[in-house]
Amino acid sequence: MPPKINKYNALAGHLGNPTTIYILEFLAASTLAYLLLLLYPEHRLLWAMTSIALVLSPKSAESKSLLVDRIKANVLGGLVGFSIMIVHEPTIVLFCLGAVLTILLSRQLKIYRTVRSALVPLVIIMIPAYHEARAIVALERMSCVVIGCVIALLVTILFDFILSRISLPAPAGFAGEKQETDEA
Amino acid sequence: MLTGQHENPVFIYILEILSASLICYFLYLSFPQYQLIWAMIYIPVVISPIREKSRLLVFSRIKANFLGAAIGFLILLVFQATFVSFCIAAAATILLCRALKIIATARSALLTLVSVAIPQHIEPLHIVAAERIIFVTCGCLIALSVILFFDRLVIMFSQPERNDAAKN
Repeated sequence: MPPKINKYNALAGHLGNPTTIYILEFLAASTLAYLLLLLYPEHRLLWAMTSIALVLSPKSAESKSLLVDRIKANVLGGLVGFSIMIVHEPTIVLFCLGAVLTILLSRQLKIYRTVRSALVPLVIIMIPAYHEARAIVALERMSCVVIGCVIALLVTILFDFILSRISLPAPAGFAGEKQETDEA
Repeated sequence: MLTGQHENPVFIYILEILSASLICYFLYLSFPQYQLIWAMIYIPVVISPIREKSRLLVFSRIKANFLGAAIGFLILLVFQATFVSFCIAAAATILLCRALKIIATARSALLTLVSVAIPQHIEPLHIVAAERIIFVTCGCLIALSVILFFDRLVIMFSQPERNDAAKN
């Protein structure tokens, strides 16, 4: 019987691999976003996928705190962009102000390491490519950011729950390995 | 003080982001027919508040951007951007990032993939795909040149004994 056990272990090792889990999480989250998009085709929910791509990352020791920080940063950038869009037509000067405000606020809120994730939704919300009323576009893009973050959070929690239930053996060489992150 | 990596002062990060965005905006104003404003998304993706000696992460972010853009381009052209092809592309992007040892920046690659493959367009597909590749390239190039420019400035101002720096 030993070969069978080895085979199972190899397969389980692949499943427990952070890359595999990351792929599955991303696909699950984008499928959810896509289903929402099919349900409400008139709202451009595709923007939620950018937030999903920004928030999810491969599992590592501090991936959970990073996830929370990235979600905060995303919502912060979204809120800054949203407030500016509500008040005035987007211009480059206002965008620069928004960028400075976002960077300083994320420093105040101690999420400075994820500041890049805050600036991307700011750009996305303030890009002047739209044909509808400004407030509606702003609201639509802002809700997309929030929806994307919520979906990513739900998927992560779900995967954590499943993984804690089936307790896969850690893949060889992963336990003590420091997972690199692309964060300040 | 450049041991490994350290945080840039906030104002330098702000200046980097603002100058890159302004360059992008002026490009957009000079060529209004090409919606170059989209290149602005890639500026915060590439520029980060961390300054590391080797700039390895910056280059791996740029690589990741191009990887995501290339895969997005392929699915737009070959598979007409359906959701299934998007999923395959996403999995391929992550696996390729791992193979190229830039898994830490896989998020940048996925973001680029999403923004390239989003089927929000009026023109024919190949023009849209080509245009989006150009946005990614512009954004990355602008961000990279701004980073390198500020690197020089910071070195000039932080080390009065420039001769020593030149020797090292």
